[in-house]
Amino acid sequence: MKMITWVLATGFVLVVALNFVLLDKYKQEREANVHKAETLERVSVNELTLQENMLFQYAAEAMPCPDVELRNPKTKGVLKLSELVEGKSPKLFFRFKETDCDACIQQALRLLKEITAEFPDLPVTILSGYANTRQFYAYANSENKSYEIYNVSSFPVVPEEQDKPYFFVLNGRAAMESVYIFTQGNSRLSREYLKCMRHKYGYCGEKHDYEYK
Amino acid sequence: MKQLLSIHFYVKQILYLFAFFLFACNGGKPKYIVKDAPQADTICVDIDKAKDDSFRDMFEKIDYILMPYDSVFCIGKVDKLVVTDSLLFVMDRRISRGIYALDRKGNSVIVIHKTGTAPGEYVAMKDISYDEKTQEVKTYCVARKKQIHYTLQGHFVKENDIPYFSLRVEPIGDNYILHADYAKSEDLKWNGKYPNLILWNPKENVVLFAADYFKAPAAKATLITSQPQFSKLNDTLYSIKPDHCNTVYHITPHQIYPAYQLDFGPYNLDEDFWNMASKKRMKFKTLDNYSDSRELCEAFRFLEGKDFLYFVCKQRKTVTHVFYSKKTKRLRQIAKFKNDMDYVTLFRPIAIHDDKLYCLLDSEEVYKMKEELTGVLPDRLLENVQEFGNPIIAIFTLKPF
Repeated sequence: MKMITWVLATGFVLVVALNFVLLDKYKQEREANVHKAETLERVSVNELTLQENMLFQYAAEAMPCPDVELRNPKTKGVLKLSELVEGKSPKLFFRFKETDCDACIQQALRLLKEITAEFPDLPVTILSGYANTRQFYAYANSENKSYEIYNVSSFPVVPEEQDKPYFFVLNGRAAMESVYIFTQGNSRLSREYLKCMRHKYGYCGEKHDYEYK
Repeated sequence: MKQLLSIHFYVKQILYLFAFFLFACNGGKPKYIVKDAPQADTICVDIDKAKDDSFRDMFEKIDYILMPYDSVFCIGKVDKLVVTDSLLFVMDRRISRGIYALDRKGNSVIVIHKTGTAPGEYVAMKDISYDEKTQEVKTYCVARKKQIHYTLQGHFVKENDIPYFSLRVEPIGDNYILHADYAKSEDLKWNGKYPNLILWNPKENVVLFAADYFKAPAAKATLITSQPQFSKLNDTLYSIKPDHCNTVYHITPHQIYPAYQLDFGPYNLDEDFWNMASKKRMKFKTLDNYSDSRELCEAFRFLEGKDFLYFVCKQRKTVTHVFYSKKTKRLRQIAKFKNDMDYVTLFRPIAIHDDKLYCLLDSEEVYKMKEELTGVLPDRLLENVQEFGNPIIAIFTLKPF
């Protein structure tokens, strides 16, 4: 009898101990699931914010682009915008006017320098908007020599109305697409845009499933 | 007896401590009461009496300095010109983002171009100054909140913190004058207002004096500024007339006080204007239209020399140049300068030194109009001007009146 009692008591203790272990494991699993759910919610919120930002700042569709005359600081002469892309691959431009927010322009240029240092295969052409030719030459002289820089004071396209610096791609048909309005608070998004353009237009040299026509 | 004595001792200690804290607290606060300052002069301006005049009638002579132009000395826009007896310094803070020094013969002395975030570098230049004693060029970077010192050879010397967001920073004696404009700083809040002209001691990090020139809580103001600058009268006296304010302030190493009051009679900025300006999200255009509707007169582009002061009045989009002689107390108001350089450049002084006004001519305009300007501008200038060269400096010496 004594033996049976001891066995039963030991068994009982073992069962209770096992219950505690199982309960703890269940608790851990539950906490892990809760953590996963919270992370998923955060990611969803971020994704939504990103989408909303993209809606306001990014326009993928192509729009006609006037064939304006650009000033070249190297030759001191002029050329047409279409000459930069005719028979060539699409070109990524960074456009700003002298009247745009200076802090935005400087931040965008700093970001450009970081990205082009990280990805030297991303060719960016700067299209400035100085009304005064001498001021443009002074700017071009002070800017990083690795960029192509041109100037056009008046550029009659829709994104100009935003009065903010912006990026765009000019395709072989001299149409403007993948327009992205730069804002100070969205450096991360801006980075993503530039990386995206690098892949989309094949600047990285990697092969893609889609073909750009 | 001993107990009484000890109580008395402790009471005395408490009183001493109280007095100590009282003075310690008061010593740290800025002083807003001007003592022993001269009475402010009132300058009455009858805006309707402005007339046309010619440069020849106003100015004794005009001298020119052709700035050098090459791949290094290439100025985008002159945001500030600092003039000394032998040297001139140009700040281009937005386009080429550099500091250029030249002598009075037009020879380049140094070009400082140090953009970045490391010590000795600037991200966003807001102001420059030159210390003739130490021969140091100083630039204030608003992004890094530092004033960076360089030698005349362009070498980095040191940098010091400027804790308050400012548009202009000028050293005066051992202190600094900061023109904070409409920026709000909780550290400077006093009586619900935010002082905009500050005398600050960098060693003790103490505000010695603060003046509140904008008669409305600056926190609500979203006004655009013409970014007025200080006129240096001597090493211990500076002058400034802030925007949206018709009082000229003088600053010494010890205090700030009103020196002149510009009086436009019925067109003065009044309480209704300040109420309008202090409305939330008030924009410059809206306030400007309000001023126009009431024909209010505002002065800006103020420069003060030893014997005269100059400013521009704006009333309903009409601009009048005003020259005031401090000796004779006479006023000359010019609506327009005729027959001279208006077709080349507007008369728009950007600096004053030794009672001479410094303006800029656009090289491209001069180059295109070489033939028409023969006899107007010196021949050596017309021969050497380059089409896209740096601006030409024109120095106007005023005739006494």
